[in-house]
Amino acid sequence: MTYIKSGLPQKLDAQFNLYHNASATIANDEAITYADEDTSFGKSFSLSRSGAQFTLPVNGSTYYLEASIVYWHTSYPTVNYNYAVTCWYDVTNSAYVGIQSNICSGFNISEGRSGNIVADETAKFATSGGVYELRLKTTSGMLTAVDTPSGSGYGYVNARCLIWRF
Amino acid sequence: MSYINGAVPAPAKLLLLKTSNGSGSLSVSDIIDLNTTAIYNNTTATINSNNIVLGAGNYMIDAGLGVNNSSNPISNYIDYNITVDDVEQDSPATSTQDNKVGVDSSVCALSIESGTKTIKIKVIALGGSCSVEDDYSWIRILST
Repeated sequence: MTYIKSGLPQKLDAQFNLYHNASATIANDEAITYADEDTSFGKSFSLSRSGAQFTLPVNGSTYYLEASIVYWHTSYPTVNYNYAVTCWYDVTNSAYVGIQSNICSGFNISEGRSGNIVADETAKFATSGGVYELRLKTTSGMLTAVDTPSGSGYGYVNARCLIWRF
Repeated sequence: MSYINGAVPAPAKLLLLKTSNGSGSLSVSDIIDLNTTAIYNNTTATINSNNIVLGAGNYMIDAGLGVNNSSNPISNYIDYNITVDDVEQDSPATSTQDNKVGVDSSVCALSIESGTKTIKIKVIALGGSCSVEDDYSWIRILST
């Protein structure tokens, strides 16, 4: 008889999809669309999406959603003292879900100087399936876009959306 | 003859939880209250009002707090840390915006061979006056 003292070593079975190139109508409660997917990591999985909406199939998997945007204005990065809040939205049940984010504009001194709150820049949610989209929950000030336009000279700051499947 | 071919791929388990600390002013050594109804949980963790009890397994834990600083993110700040059985871990976080941006999350990797360990989020330093914003605050636990 063979005994294994403390269980087999495990490695985690996880996949993730990375989306980028974000856009939205700039107003409260508007959905944010990530137009492109980066599959170069070789860990992506097939997922249905339409516009801003991700349809996560109920098949026993756990999905972890995490997304961020850029607070963009044409005078970036000198637009201070403004912020935006994003949150995941349950399309089927018409409700905000998960942990919301706070994104400030311009220099780091902006954060928390308007709206009183310092918080993480990523909106987070976990689920076993459903239809979800990231939404621009509230904005203040001078937001004109939710991602850095190409050719702006600040291309290293980009919005992204990650969906993990465990 | 039987062979065991290395590691066995297994899906990670996940717990994602909001805080439930309310808007009261914080003090040093406060333990942050938790929402006992998880956003998502397929782990075996026991969620209590200000702690989470974990059994045997391997864990990655992070916790981040949204902080109301009355629009003064340098003078009004907190530092906080994950504790394991009331012992502070090695990666605390801060809400101050002095030469940084956003909130760090406190992070901890933990392996429990047997028995249980109790996880908390503790305020370890305070400048001025702050409170927790629960809609922006989380603890996330990934486990094997």
